[in-house]
Amino acid sequence: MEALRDALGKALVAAGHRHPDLVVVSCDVRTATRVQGFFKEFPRRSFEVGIAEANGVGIATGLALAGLRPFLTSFSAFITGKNVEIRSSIAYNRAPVVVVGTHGGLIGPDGATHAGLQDIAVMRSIPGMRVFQPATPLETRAMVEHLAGDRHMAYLRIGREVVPELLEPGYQFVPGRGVVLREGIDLALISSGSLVHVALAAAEQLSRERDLSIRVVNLPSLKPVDRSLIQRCVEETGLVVTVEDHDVSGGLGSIVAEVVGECPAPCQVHRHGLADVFISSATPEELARIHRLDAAGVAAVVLAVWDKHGGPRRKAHRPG
Amino acid sequence: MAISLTDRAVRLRLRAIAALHRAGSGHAAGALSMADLLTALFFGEMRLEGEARDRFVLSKGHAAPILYAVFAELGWITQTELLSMRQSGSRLQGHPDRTALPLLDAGTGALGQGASVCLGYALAARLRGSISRNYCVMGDGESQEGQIWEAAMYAPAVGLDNVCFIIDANGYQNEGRTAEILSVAPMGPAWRALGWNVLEIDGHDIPGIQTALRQAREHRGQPSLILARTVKGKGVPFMERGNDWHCRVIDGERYAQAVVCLEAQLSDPSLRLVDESGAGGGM
Repeated sequence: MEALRDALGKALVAAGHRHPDLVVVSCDVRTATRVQGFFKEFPRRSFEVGIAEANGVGIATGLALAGLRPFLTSFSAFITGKNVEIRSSIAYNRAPVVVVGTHGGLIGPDGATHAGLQDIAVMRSIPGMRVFQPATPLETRAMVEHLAGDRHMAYLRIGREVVPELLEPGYQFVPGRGVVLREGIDLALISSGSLVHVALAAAEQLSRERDLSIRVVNLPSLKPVDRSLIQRCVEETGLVVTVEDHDVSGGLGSIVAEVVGECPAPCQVHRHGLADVFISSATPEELARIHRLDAAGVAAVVLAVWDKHGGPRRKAHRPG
Repeated sequence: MAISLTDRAVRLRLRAIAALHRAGSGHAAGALSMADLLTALFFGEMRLEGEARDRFVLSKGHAAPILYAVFAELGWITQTELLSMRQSGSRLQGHPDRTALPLLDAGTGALGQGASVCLGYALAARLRGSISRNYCVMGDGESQEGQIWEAAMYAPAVGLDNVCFIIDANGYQNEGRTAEILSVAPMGPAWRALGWNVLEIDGHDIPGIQTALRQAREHRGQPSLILARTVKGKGVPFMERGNDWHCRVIDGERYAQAVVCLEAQLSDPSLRLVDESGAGGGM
């Protein structure tokens, strides 16, 4: 078990040794974002800009245009709020900056202002910006290593949760490629980030209790997204549920629905996540329960979708 | 014959208004106010080539025509290309686009952002032990943007002395007088209080600009700010009064008048620009 931001911090230090052009910009939250290890190891390549994220965006842009590979780090809610700066300084210049937003999702007692719940929607609308989100410690390390050796602009969203490892050693992160974590034919449950663990638990529960065969898909690359994998889910299951700790408008649910809408076969997509709301202060566990983003909540949502769309459809297709 | 800096500045103005007239849109007066500043920078002070070349960020991106004029005067682009500004397919976008025109060190346009990008370049130069200097021109109206002050706090805090910001203080912004819309005065004391080496000058006195740039270069331990008092529309008398020419279209008649005024300021008629496009009209 490891917090993904801890994995991020360690991965940056490791990548810093392999990539001398890697630099880190922090906006007064280097302890919370866990990049303080990089600051200690590489003080000359570390830039603390203070509580001045807009300036941080510009500084990262200049560093990148000068040939370095900056990771600009802050809370996702704060840094992606600098939309016009990211758009006009980083993206308009195609400056190879990695914007790292930690505390994406249901963060807990700090409440709505500090929780990144619209960040994916904002960042994926920016031309040329890639959007990635790891689900496990190994995936975090693989992404950081990929990004350290790459020159594309990217947004890396990191959740606050402590999660177990799911992936096999040697896992390679490839932009635009999703991963099937569990096979199934009745329904595809598509997720990203730490909600992947919840999706898996819900799928296990519905398998035990209702004999449903649920495919669980992890989409670590939200832009570019694995269109062929989504299309395969449509063709092979005919019913898709997305689950995310983000607003369903513009996030994973929208991304998947856009692809499904362009598939030839008709397919129902149910988007489960935050729907046009701010969260409130509570423990992450309480918030997950309130917003039905714990395993029981996701299982209930999936079952309702199955009963409404999947069961009748299957009966029609397989009479008797 | 070596072209004097005074003549260079007039030629920059001639080039910029030709492009603006041809485009039928764009920001004339705020480009003209900084012609003398760019003349001193690009035709003397700045190291324009090599690994350790100096960097230049035009934070007031709407003044792009005068920067494109510099590129044409340097021979980096042709006058014909200059006249393609703001047209479909042109590398010379309405506001500078580095992805289209790699001669630019930064694409800009949304105000308040260029200063920070310039600081990023400066940090990279210092990290690499490069002697490269890093310049940014911004407007006085632009200084209303909060990000300018984030950058203003940061550079002295980390002792970046390879940075020189220049404020083209022409006193006007889109809607009128900067002093009346949201005063940022007194700018000199404000920047000085934050730890900048502030040099207040007449932004149309080319030898004075050169002296300030040299003093900024030689100053150690602090970033430098050149606060250049300028006249919006400088060089074209009918544009120098008020704020009418912030983004007004320069029609044929006005353009002809402007060319006459500017050409009269050249020390020698042979320095007039030759029209490479074959379209006539003195340019």
